[in-house]
Amino acid sequence: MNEDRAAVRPTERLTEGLTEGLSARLSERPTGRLAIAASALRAPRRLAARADASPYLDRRPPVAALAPTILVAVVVFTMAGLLWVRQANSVADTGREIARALDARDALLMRRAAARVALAEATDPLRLAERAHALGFAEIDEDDVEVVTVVTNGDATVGDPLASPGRRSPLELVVPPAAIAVPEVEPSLSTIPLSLWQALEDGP
Amino acid sequence: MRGRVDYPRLPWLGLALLAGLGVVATRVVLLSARPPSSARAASWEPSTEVLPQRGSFWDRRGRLIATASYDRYEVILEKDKLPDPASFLAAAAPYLGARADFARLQLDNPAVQWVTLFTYAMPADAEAVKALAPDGAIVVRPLPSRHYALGEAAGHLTGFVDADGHGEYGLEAQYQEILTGALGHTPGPFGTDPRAYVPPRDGADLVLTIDRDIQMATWRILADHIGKQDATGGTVIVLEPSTGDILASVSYPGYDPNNFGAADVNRYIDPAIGAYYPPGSVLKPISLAAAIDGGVLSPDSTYDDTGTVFVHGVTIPNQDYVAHGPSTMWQMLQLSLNVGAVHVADTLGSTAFYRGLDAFGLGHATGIDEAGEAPGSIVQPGADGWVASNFAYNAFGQGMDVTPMQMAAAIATLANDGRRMTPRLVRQVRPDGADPQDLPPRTAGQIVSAATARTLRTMMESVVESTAKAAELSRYTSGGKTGTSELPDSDGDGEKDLIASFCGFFPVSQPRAVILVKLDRPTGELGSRVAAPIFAEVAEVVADALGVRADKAGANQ
Repeated sequence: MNEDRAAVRPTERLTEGLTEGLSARLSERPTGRLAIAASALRAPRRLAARADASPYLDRRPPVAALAPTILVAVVVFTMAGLLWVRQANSVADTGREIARALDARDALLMRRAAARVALAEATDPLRLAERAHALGFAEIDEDDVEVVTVVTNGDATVGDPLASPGRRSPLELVVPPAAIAVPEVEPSLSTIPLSLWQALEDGP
Repeated sequence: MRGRVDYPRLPWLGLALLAGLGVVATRVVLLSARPPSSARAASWEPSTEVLPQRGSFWDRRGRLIATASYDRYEVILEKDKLPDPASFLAAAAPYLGARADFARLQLDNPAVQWVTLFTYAMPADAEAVKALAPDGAIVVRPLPSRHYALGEAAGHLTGFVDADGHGEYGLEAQYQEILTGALGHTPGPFGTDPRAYVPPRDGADLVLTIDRDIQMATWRILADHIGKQDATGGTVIVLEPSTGDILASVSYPGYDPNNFGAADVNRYIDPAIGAYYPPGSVLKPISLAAAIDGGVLSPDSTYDDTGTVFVHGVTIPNQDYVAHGPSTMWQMLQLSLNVGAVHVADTLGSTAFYRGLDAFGLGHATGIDEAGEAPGSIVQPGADGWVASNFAYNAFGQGMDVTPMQMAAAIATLANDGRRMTPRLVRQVRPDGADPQDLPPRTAGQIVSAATARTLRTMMESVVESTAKAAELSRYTSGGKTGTSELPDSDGDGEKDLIASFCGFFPVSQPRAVILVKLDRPTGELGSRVAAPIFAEVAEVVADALGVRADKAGANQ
């Protein structure tokens, strides 16, 4: 094991003597021109402090050891990214849905408003009155109203209608019970006179 | 075998990676779970407003009075598609009116590509101008507007909404905030981020106390009588005394809120709540009620009617210039004797007299929920402008200014057994997406005792049976009081300007409606002659609409 490690650490071996020798001499900290020249020969501090940080090192084994971690990180990051994309897509879709729904809302509001206006105009009292007039209806005074009483029970006085007590009009119709024809059987289509059929067919 | 190599920066790299992942994860969670704060949503640009729809007006039986519509238009011209701008402008000038000059400037400006011809055009103008340009040169965009189903018949009540969406006058102004709702927001024209979307809240619908049939019929009756009497204007108010609900409020001349721009701006104010008039003899039941309730007079109290009375420096004659001798309060009211009215006021004393007017709400805003109500003006003793003769004139309703609504509410107090109700126009609010809210009637308190109120109703019934027969109804008992008041000569013709009025109720035992009629400057002077028939006609309509049971002997149900 130690041999293997030594095999992969040539730089340490190569610099071992130099660094140790220089360190011993420099620890004395001489001054003057010679000391300055010696300091120039001293190995770089970074190299001295971290002898293993050489550009000649083979890094593959440590990277391989970290590979699972990196892989997991990449997978997690990718999944998070996909989630992000999916979420952003969903957000955009929802936004477009809202825009479409707003357009539909506007259209519906306009249709509802138009329908309400049409309803209000159709039920406008003045318009209804005009229609009623056009159909032949007309406002009447109370004096124009004639109350016609049709008496169908046996208590009615048969005879001169004007002789009857109470407020009755000359048009009052008094029908004695015997005069009311009660059909014995329910009429069928065949019992309806032909003239009625013709009237129905010729009608509007 | 490989030797171990130390990577002291590797943990930092891992931490940075984890931190990045944490940020991403947090962002994902926030995107999916956290709602946007309103402050952040509001700060996001660009923002597009989503207009709420304005609430509608419905009558008390669920029929439409006013609703949102889209029959106003923005008309935009694309210059490049117009081959001959000069001839187009010449043809469109009659429709553009004052905007023609602005349009010409815009057409001459090479930096302008689109010219807005109308910002709020009527359908006819938009269609006419569009027909003058080649196909595709003019874009017509519908804008939110308002449709008023009753038009001129209810213009004063509803008010209108201007081009900026603000309610002006009447109910539109009074309930502006409730009707408007709340704006919505989208982050942009394509709605890319739903977190910034704030849905609009449509305005609430209002259920009015108005009955559309009564309102329309009353309008027609008033317009008909104003034409017959050659009057300059008039007002009719129909009020339910037990709740203060206004069943109809009509003033003539009116204006059509569907085309408010064409009307004289002076017509926008509702005369029923914003115009003053001296009530004249219609005030007499009020002062008499105060005297009877205060115990200083009774219906059978007598006084010596000398035909004229000199009091507080002025001579007050009866309107018929006749001395009626010993007279009761019944006679004072039936014959509308001014000398008797002065006797009542003098017996009460000025303090109690004016306190009584205050209690009945005269000279103060009624608090009706309609924008633009005026308070009226009754100068009280000790106030600036007070002179002793005011008291004498005020005794029979002259020298004071009230609104028709105040007078109707005062008589309604008698019809409601002495309890004064605040007149109202809205009985229910229906918010968007929420339960309807009933608005309870508001009372201003018990003003006189129920017994006093019933006594006055009986006395006012005797008025209809004796001197105001035109107010008699075929199937219902009715009571009321006529009034003929004088205005300062406004047109300088040297003749008195008169106001004829009648305020009554039916049926007498339990009144369902109080109806005030006021005609401005009619040819037939007396209120009993010109205003009382309107009362009778309107009352028949109200009775049919409300299904009031006949209470007169011999009446057909």
